[in-house]
Amino acid sequence: MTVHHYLAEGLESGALVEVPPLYPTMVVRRIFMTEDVARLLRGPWESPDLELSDSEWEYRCGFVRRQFDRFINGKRVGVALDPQSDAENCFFKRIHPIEDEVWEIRCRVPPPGVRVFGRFAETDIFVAMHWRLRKDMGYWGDPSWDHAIEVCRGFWGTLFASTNPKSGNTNDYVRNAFPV
Amino acid sequence: MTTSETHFLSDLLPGNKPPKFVLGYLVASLMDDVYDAILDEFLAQEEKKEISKAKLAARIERDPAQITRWLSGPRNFELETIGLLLTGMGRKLEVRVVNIKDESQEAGNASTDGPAESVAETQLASMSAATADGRNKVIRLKDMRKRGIDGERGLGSGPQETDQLRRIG
Repeated sequence: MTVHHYLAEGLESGALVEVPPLYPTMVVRRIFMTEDVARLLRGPWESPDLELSDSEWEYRCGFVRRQFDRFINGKRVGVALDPQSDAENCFFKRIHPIEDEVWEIRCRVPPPGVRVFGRFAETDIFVAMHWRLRKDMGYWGDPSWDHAIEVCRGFWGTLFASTNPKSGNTNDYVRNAFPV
Repeated sequence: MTTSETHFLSDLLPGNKPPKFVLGYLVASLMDDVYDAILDEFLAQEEKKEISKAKLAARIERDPAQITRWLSGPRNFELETIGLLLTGMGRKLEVRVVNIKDESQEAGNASTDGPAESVAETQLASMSAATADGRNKVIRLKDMRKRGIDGERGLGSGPQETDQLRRIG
């Protein structure tokens, strides 16, 4: 079975949902997401942060939605292969250890920062599996990062069996990328 | 507590208070388009060997690493930062306010030739209608060399280019 078969199965079973573009443009890239991630885009928006009202959280999630559309619409996105990169506003950053091929979509603005974790199934096809508030993650080396990887590995194993996630150079993950 | 289905599928009227999700989306789109205008200009000049991160950094007296950080993705740019980056590339920004409904109408018409989904069009129309005063912005990058803003010779040394038009929303 190819990765496309697994994606189709995931859609059919309801384990995955494809993110539709809000703009009436061609879909250049694709994001498939779990229900956990879908809640960021669809609501109901219950704030995960005591310092943030539901309304503020809803506003914040509008930014996440726009960021997803940026990818889907084929706009240039910053991609950092190096987990140590200081390109703070890059769209995608691969997280350590790189062999796990787990990436974060960095949604930094406005606070609180959100990180959406997932893997590339193919070039320009990202599977978004779960998310966390950045401030709940701690610094590098904090066990929460290992946990983020484990969650992705678990989802991936369930959805894609023994198929490997995409790996390679910047353009193998995202066409029209801006390497940073 | 609300859901996006409620927002996007309702018949939102102009002048209504925009849903927070839509508001966030549209504010983010402004940041996106400002970033795209800057990055596209940088890459176009870089391709012609007119500029590099190091050269731009030197022109505006900043660390090259700072240029990398600025260009790495959309952000809430300070106006001063936009001014620094564009001036370093011999450009300036022109901004005018237009009606977002006109913009969305244009986008909707354009979409009839492509495979856009009707749901997406409905969502866009609803979003556009949801803005507080129905206005949006068009950003235009202007080649300052045409007007010799940097003295007689202008900034940079590349050929003069047609203005780049960036639509927001």
